[in-house]
Amino acid sequence: MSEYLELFGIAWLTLIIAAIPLSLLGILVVARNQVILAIAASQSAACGAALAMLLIGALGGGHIHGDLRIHLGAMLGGLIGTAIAWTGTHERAAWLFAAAGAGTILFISHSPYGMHDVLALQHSNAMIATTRDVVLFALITITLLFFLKRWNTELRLLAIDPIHAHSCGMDVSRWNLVLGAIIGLVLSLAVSVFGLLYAFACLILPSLIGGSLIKSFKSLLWLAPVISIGATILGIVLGHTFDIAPGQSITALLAFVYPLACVIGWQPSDSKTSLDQAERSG
Amino acid sequence: MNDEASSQVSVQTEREWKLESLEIGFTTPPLITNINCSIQMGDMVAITGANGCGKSCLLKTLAGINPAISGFIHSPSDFSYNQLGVVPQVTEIFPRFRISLQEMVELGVANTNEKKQQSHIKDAMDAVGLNNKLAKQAWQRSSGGERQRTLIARALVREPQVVLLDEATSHIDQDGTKLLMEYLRALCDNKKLVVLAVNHDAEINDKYFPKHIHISNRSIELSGW
Repeated sequence: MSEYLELFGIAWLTLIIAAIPLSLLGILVVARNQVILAIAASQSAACGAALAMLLIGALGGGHIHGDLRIHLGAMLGGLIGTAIAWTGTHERAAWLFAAAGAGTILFISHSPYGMHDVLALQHSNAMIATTRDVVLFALITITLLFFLKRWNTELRLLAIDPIHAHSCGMDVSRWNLVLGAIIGLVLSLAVSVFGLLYAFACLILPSLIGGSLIKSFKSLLWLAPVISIGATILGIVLGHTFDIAPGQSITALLAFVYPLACVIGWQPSDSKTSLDQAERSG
Repeated sequence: MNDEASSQVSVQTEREWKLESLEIGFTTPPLITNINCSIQMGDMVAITGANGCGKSCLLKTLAGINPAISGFIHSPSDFSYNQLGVVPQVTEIFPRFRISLQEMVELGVANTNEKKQQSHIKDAMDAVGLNNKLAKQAWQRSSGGERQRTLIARALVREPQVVLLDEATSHIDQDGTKLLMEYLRALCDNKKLVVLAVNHDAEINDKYFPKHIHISNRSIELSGW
């Protein structure tokens, strides 16, 4: 085991730490019905990373995993994607998803490690994480926890009732800008380190699972990270035990637990509420 | 803070609100034109009119949610949007996750000195008849009346100077509405709270609201001034 820890310890630690900010930001994304916008922004980040790989390859960079320029490319792509998706409609987000998805593959299809890089970006390969990534995600986690502690009520109000937040004197446009930028940056970094599948699953699924089980929104703020960390640790153990990829194991675990959580947490009024909402929204 | 609307909001030294040549709506032509009136601290004002005439739009403009097309809103010099309590129509809120009624009320302290306001949460919930058992109930499992009482309590925890109610009692039973109106009237008398309410119940309007703004044909008629 110790030799595996030596080999993969950094990657595993990065996965566990990154699970916290991703799941916390996911609460906001799900609460505000922005799931499709998040997947479009993730795809855009992957496209940015692919473009960076193409440019580095053109400059004779060789095999470039862990290159900081790829992080920067992903962040640029993610931020542009977030700006396009967050300020627009679901249709625009769908367009972005399709365009960025095609771009991701086309940009690196002729690079020396083209298909391997596409797979790493799209389907997750957590093993390329470095010490720098551990530090980056630790800093992000600390900053986000401070942010959440300081503005807990404001963030919850913004997630549930942005119109009321506006009437309470909160500058909703500025909050949206800051939150969009944070989500875009964290998601992009996660995509460039772990790939799209794990980053998106860890963003959305813990909130969906927790949301099916909780009775108060406040408790989701600790439950979603707990679910995310739990699934990550268990996924790593499963991956190590059965010699399978940990990123996909974690994603599969979360995906498996979600329907179970829906069944456990189902209440008769839920379907009525959904029906009411559907009727009201026309 | 509410940038779009603030360009048309000015402060004045008098303790009253003044609406001057105000035009409101979402596009041109405006929904209502030439709104001129002054509202004293402690006033209870009912806003009436047919569906779609612009009642909710007027409230949202006063709340800084919708910018006015033209004209001015003069507010008292010591007023800030932190002292505004807005109660939207209950159908405007669909929380994605389960949230208890108490938690919804607690969100009312957002953007204020939270520690100071925490003590008002219990008072506000008592005022609208939300007992301990009901407070733990999920929003999604609550009736329209319980939700409306929750939203009113959420507005009251801010200790507002002005409360804007948008059909806020339409689902509340007669006794509950009476209790609430008496409470608001006491606040208007004792703490000089201003209440502006969109309401379709003529009996409630006549009994509790001395001043009326009636909207028809894109203009307002004042009565009780």
